[in-house]
Amino acid sequence: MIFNSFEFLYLFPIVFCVYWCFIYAIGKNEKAVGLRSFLLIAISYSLYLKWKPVYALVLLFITVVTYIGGRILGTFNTPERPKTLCSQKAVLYSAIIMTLSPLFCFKYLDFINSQITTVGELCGFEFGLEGLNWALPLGLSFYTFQALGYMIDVYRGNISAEKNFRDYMLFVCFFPQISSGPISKAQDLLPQIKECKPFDNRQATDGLKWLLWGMFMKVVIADRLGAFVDSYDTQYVYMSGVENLLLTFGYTFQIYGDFAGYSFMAMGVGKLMGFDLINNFNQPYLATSITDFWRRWHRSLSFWLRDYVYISLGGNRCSKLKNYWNIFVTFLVSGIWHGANWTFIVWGCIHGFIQMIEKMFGLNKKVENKAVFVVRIFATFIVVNFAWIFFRQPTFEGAFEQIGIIFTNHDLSFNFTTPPLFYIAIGLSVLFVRDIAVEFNIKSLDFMNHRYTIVRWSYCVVLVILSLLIGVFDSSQFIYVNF
Amino acid sequence: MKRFLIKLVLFISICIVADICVGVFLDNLRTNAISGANKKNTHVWETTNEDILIFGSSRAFNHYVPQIFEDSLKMTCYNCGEDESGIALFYSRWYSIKQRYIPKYIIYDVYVQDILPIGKSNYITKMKPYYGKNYLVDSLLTKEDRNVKYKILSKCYRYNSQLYDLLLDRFRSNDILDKGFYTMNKGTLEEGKYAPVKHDNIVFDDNRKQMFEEFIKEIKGQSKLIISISPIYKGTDEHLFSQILGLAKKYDVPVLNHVNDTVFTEHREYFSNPTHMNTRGAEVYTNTIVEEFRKLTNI
Repeated sequence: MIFNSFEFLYLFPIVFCVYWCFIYAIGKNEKAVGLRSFLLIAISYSLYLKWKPVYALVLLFITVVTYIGGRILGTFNTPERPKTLCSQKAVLYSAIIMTLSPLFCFKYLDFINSQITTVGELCGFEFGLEGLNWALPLGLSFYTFQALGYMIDVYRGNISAEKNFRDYMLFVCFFPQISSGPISKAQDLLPQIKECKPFDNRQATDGLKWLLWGMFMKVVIADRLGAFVDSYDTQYVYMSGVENLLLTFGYTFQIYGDFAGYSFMAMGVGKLMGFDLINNFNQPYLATSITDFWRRWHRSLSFWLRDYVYISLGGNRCSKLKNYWNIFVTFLVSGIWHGANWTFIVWGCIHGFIQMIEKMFGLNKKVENKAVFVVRIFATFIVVNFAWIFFRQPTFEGAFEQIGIIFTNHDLSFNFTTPPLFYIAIGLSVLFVRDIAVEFNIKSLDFMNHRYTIVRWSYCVVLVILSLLIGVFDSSQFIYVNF
Repeated sequence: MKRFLIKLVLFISICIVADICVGVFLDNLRTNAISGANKKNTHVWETTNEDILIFGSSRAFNHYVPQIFEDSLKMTCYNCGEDESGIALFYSRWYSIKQRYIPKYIIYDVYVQDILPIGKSNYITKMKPYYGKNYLVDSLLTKEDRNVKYKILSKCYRYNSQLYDLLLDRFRSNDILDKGFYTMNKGTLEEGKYAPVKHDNIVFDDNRKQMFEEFIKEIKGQSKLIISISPIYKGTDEHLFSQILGLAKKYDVPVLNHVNDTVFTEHREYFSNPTHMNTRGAEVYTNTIVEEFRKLTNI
């Protein structure tokens, strides 16, 4: 279910009403929790089946493998069973390989195949292996990582293995987060699944606010910028350096609006259903370093990488050199996770490399001086912006060509049409004020949570009207769904 | 829950009222536009009374100078051409126009886009304010988007992405359009900058072709229709137009075909880009069309 689609507008109220009527009807007991989980699984799978029914089998496969893996791994942590670390590791690795196999086949096999073919050709061997060219199952990278995280937590003894398959199934397939996260941790979501809370007025109101703000970010900021940036997709080579720089800024805010918009809507839908999902975004473009940026951007993935890659590699409890290497590898994994293309790998490496530098020179620490603080925000934004060029462009050549134009073409001509810029400026102004208000805790500017009801309500009405007036309602897919 | 639902209903009600108020304000901006595309759109749908109307997409919009028609033929003329449009817009506009009066002549500048399933949305923007007032608009918009009948319930959505133009057209007094015509004064096509126009592997839209046929049949009995094809720099494959030319032949509609006319196609000084002529090209071309029109109609 795409949150910005018309389908969502009529399906979600039905889901909401059916869900809460059901909760009221069944009451509040242990049996009710089970029935509620069944209902949510039915809703989640029905929505997933609407897309490509056969891919629900992949979701089910990962659920079953990680559930069984978790159960077996869990037995090693019980007092009855003596610890035989080697075999526990063997179980973990086997389960990880099985869990990652669909991701590997659907996402990386074609890329590896093409690389082998290219290397073969360079060595004089002419062979062409057939690629699979399968569409990527919706949310595969997200639910695979979520399920993997659970299994590793069980292995480490951070949590006990979930015995109830029904609850675990819901943990993996919960519909607000399945297509693009957030990647929830078992210790955060599973307890909520096991508890049947009554309707919370405050939580639901918060949910609606997040839903509205997420919708605004998607349709007014992301899709408006998307239409603008895409319209110059093939023409950037003819454009000036300034125009190209502005196009890259456009994409930088587009991807923020798109992914944060999705995440906020997922959070809003979760709250309306009585669940608190992790807030994936925390004003990322006000970060003072790349290290800080990753504490604010796609936080659930950052936490996942920190907990299951960085710490597994040794984290910072090792030599400085090894620590730098761990940072680099962690972000290499982040790049690979985002997509099977060298451009994503380079994007991840850029982020990893700069964090290494920051750590070396102590640039990842909090800044007190206001002027330095502002300069650092600006510098971080520029670095992030240039890294996004590799993320967006399908090839290296394209990325380097665009960067080259930005630095070498000093023509100051500006041929963008005014109306799209006018709408983009409105959307970005609203975003800027909101992010500044939340970041620096300026209560008078945080209109969504203002102390006066009239301000809160008026602001929400303005967001609705602006969305209708300048939003792009083409139900376009979210960028991160491709990952 | 009850409190939440009451607040939700109240919020939705306020949004509906705000939507209606803003919609009325925008309606007012559109109908009172003193220049630009909104003034033109309102005029074409609601107040045209000219003898000659020019229909077609951006090539019609930029290639036919009404003033030359008026000066040469002593008849009134208005250029109804619109960027990124096609038969869908002009068929529905014709339906509104014929309710008021029947123009003497309609010159339709055709391009392949007229019968291509192109998802460009400019013409939808032009049609949205008339949803509910013209049954063709209703059915065409519904065909484009099956949810439009719900979306269009919002008065603001009818003017989605129009705020800037509505404000500008309401308050900007110097009209950039001259009787609907917009001159491409963006200079001359640069040597070697553009490749010849080609449309490979085109799949025509049968629905649009059928619409074009119905449009011809409709007009044939009431007004004099002339189909024209304006020049393309270095020409193009005429096969692109075979379907439209076939319809013209079938219904005996005169065609002024200049798509490969070397008087224009070999002169880059007439073009702004390969498919659009500049001010100079438009003037020379309009004079040529006027002469052919005169011969065709014995005026």
